[in-house]
Amino acid sequence: MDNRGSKGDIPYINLLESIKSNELSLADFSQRCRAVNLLPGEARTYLNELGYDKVGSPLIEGDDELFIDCQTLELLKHELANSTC
Amino acid sequence: MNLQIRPAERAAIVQSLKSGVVPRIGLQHFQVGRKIELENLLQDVEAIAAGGTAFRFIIGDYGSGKTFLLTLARTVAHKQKLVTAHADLNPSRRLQATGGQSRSLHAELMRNLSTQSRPEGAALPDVIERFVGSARDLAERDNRAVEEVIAERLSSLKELVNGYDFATVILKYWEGFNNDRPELRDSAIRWLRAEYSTKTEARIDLGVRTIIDDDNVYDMLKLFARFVRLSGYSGLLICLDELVNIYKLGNTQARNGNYEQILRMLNDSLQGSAEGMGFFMGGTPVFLIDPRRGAYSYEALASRLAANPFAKDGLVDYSGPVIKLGCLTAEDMCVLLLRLRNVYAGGDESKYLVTDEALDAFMVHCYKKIGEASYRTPRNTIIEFLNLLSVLEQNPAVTWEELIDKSSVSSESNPDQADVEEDDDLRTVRL
Repeated sequence: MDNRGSKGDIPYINLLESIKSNELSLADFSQRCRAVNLLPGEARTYLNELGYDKVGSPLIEGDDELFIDCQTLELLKHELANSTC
Repeated sequence: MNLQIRPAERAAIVQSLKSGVVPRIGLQHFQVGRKIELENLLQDVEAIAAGGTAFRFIIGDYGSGKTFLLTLARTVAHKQKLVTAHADLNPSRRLQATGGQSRSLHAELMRNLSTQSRPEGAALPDVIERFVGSARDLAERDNRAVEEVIAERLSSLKELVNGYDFATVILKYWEGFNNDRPELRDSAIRWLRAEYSTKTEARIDLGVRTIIDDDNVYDMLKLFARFVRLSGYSGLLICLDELVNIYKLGNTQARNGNYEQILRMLNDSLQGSAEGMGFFMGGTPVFLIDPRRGAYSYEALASRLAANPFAKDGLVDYSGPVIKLGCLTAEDMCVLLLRLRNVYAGGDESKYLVTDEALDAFMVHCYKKIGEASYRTPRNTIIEFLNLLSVLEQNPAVTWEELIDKSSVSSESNPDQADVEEDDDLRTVRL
C-alpha cells in the first residue's frame, strides 16, 4: 500500500537527510516534517511501513521522545534515492 | 534459522513474560503451537481486510494463552494493514452502561489504537494524519481547497450515526495543523477518544453538537472502521479481553445489556451489515457456558454460539464463532522453552544459559509438580523458567542442576469466582 500520494519520494528523502541523530523529540520531528510539507503521522507511517517491507524493522519508535534506527535510516535513504533515480 | 531479536524486543519479552503478561512486541520469537487456531484467525483477518466482517470468541482457562493469541492476531492484522484497537473489560469498562463505563471502554480502545507503524498504541493521530495528508495531496494535485477534499471524502460517513460531527472533527484537526493551532488538534483527539464529558464543552471547542457517550460507542466504532478504510488501511480489528467481567456483574439487567451489545456485534458480523470490521473477544469457559450468568444465559446468544453437535469425539469445527483453546503438547512446550532460551540470549547461541538437557529436566520437574496443567496453562511454567534463567545469569557460579529442584512452579488459580458480585435476584429473595 502506497501512501506517498502525488508528492512522490522527494519530501521523504529530504526528511531522512535532515535527521542526524538517533534520538529526537516529537516536536523536533514535527518541525522537520513541516519543513518538507509532510504531516508527522503521515511521514512516520510511510517510513515505518517501508522499513518493515524492506528491512523488517521500523525506522521510528517512541512517543514524545523518538528513537531512530540508524541502520534502517541509511538503508531507507539508499532505497528511496534508488527508487527516485 | 533464528530471527534477529532486537534489544528492545528482548527486553519487552523478558520483562512482560516474567510478570505474567503478554508482551506487545516480538511474539514471533517465541510463538508455538495453535496452528489451526491461528489459521482461522488469519482467515478472519483476511476477510476483514477484504471489506468483510469477523467475530470470534477465544475461550480458554486462565493462563492458557488467550491474551497471547489475541496479541498475535493483532500482529497478523497489522501485517495485513489493519488498524487494531484493544482493551480489557473491567468494572469501569463495559460494552453497555449508563455511568460512563462504555465511554471509558471507548477511550481505552482509542488510546490503544495500533498500526504496523505504531504497534504499541497511540496511533490515532497517525491514522488521522494519513487521511488528512492524502487529502492534501489530492487537493494540491487538483488545485482545490483541502477542506473541500476532506469534506467530499468524508461524505459517505454522514449516512452513519454521528457521521456529520465526526467529519467536522476531522476537518478541525486539519484546521489545527494548517493554522498551527495545536490546541484545536488536541480537542479533536479528545473528542475522538471520548474524553469530552459534556456536549457544551465539545460545542465550544469544536462546534459539534454530540459527544461519544455510553449510548453511541458501538456506532462510533462502526464509523471509525469506515474512516480507517478511507485513510488507506484495510479495516479495523477490535480485540476485547477479560470478558469474564460481564459474568461477574451482579445486576441482571446490566449483564443482559452487555450480552445484548455483543449480540448486536455478532449479528452485524454474521449479516455483513458492518464493513471492514471484526471483533475478537477473549474469555474463560465460565463466561461462555455458565447457564445462569454466562453468555449462554442470554438465549439469543446461546443459540448463535452453541457448539456444532457433530464436532465431538475428536472432530472439530472452527467455522463457528467460538474457538476453544486446548492444551499445548509436550513438543510445543519443549519448543517454547527452546525459544525462550534463545530470546533470553538475544538470539546469540553462545550466550545460552542452559543446555538442552536442562530444558528436558525442567519439563520433567514441572510435569511432576503440576501435571498436565504445565501444558494446559503454560503461564506459570514460563515465569518459572525465566526466573531460573535470571538467577543463572546473575549468579554464574550456580548450576541449573542446583536450582531446578528448588523450582516452586504451581498451577494457575482460577479467579473467575473472585469479585463476583452477588446476584441482584438472589439478594431480593433473601430480603
